[in-house]
Amino acid sequence: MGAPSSKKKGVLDPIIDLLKWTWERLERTLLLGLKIVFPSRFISPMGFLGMLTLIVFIILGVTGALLLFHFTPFFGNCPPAVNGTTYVPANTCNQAFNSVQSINNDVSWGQIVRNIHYHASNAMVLLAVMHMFYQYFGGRYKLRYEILWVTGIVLGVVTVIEAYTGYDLIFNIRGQLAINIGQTLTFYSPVIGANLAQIIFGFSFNDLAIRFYAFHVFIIPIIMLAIMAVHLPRNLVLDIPVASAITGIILVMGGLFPVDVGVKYDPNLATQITFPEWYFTSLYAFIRVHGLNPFIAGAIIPAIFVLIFLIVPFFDRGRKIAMVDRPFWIALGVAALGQIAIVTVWGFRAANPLIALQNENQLVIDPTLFAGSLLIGTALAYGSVYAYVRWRRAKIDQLRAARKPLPFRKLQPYILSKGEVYSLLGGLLVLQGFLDVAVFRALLDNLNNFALLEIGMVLVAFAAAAHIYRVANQTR
Amino acid sequence: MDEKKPSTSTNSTPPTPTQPAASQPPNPTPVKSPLISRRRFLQGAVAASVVLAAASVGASGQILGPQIPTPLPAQVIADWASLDKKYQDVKGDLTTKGLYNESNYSQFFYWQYDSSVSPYYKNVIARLPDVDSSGNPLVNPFYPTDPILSHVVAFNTTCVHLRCLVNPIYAGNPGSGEFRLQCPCHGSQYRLADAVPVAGPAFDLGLNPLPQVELTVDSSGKISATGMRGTPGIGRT
Repeated sequence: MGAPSSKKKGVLDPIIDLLKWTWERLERTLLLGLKIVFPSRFISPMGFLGMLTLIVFIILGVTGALLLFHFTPFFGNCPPAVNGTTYVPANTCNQAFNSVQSINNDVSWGQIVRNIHYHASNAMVLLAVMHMFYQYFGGRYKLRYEILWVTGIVLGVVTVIEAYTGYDLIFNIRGQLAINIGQTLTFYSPVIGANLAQIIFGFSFNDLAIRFYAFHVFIIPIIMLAIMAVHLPRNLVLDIPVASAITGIILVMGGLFPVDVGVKYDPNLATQITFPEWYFTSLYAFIRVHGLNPFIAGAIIPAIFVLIFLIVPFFDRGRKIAMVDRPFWIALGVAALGQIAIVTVWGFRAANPLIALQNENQLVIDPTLFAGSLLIGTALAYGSVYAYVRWRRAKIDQLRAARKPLPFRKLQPYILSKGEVYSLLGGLLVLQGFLDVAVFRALLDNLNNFALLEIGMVLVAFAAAAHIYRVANQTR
Repeated sequence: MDEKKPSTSTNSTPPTPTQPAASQPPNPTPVKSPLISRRRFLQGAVAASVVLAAASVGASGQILGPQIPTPLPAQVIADWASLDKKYQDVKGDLTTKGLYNESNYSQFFYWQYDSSVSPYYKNVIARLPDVDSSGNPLVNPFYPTDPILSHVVAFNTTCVHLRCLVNPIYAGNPGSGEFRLQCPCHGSQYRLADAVPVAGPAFDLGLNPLPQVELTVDSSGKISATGMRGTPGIGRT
């Protein structure tokens, strides 16, 4: 605040003074201890996927808080048909589902908020997994990154559990399948199984609803925040255009692919075949394998998978982090990705992946086919990636020995070539056509999701504008 | 008891300094050696209070457990006359509209806990058809001699594989299959007569039979549930 007297007094001065005053006091808090970088030039979003995950977490928190006002965490009573009459579902049956349905159909803005919440939950799981693999391939789990890595893995597992408790709360048949499987696996865990199952799931279904509600809206988010407090690195990158684009894409997805409430779970009606959410079909595939114990399939195998990632930093002791220097770990990561992909696809398919699923007898997967595809896929991915990385390393060494320049891309200001401009414009035109069709569909659907789509498009457009402005500033 | 140690007042040094303790033999006799030194007493007190605190925290963990509602008393769940009549009406009609329609020989009831508690206490009671498709007589193996209960079976419907609720079905084409209880989720099948798994994951994994509801019948033909052998979701062991 140097030399205030010489300056002309402006209208906004009191406000600026207040902001300055606040800012100076905030320096005594933790808030300004965080170093948040707002990059002025474009950097790859892969580097700050964790921050994007945090932003989606905040979106989830806000939309979830709004949904709290209308959700009933109560299962109610589903009396069976009186003898000799046809079954009429009671009003009190599955009140949790009824409340979700009313959020979707009756509550003003309910469908929009629920759609954002649903698509953001998918985005959060996806971003967290992408974040993990990006850091893994970048070698950012060793060299004093160990605690960040381990807390990150734990946070990822907790995120998936949070998503699990969330989609169970809808109490549709998909949620019911997840509840049944979760309860069975917990019951079959050794020694403490039965007690643990009673603590997590309660005894009655009303217990279950209120317990999962407590887990989903309070206990697990608090645990996540606590782990985040450790997981948060000191230097954060907050790129407003990319954050806005991610938010916009979530909203656009909600507008284009509105999520339905699903089939109501009613214990007095025969249930239909259903699949878990996409992040669980991999576990579901294991559970469906012929002759494989559900506890081993659904708990031990995923636990081993997570454990391997958890202990990676304690086995990869090398001091090199470049991908070409770590052929084993890179190949392992790619093989893990391949495994996830194969198993996830299996989870969606019938026993014979080539035919459509018709009845429940086709759900049991043949173990030789399953394990065979898994082994071959993994071995192929591992072998080819390992060979490629070794070949590349050898090539670099060769070029070094011959004192030739390495074929690395030089960093230079990014200027669009003619071809790129045409392909970009063409892509945008295709996108435009797609959006037109989608909007037309929304129109037929009484524009229920149009507002969501539009807000999303506004955010994406803002992101694009901010990005172009940034690039233009750079090139001058 | 290491009553000498506190007098040297240090245990960080190597054991050699403890040797000079022999130079003061007259001291212990006038100063009456206490039963327990002050330090030991404090250590013990701290340890005991930590154990007590941990125990009370552990005990208060019981708040995590759910409240278990009181189970229902023995209860009339079906009437033999009406159950048998529906069966006798369609006995000769070997089609999916007649005998092979499960609603003509079975009905559901909730017992031990009513429908407001948990779907896992949904049970099925069935008039066991006299013969299966190949002509073998079907008899309830739990009450083989009772004139009424030998024709009635009752089981909990929670599949022991992954807890979906099973339904009575007629497996296969009419005339070639068998009366079963089938899980709609993963296709486990149980024999209707004794609920032993015969197909699907429950059979492949060698899981338990479904819990059996114990029945009694009074002189007027009212069938009551009196107990359950086994636990829903775990099965009859």
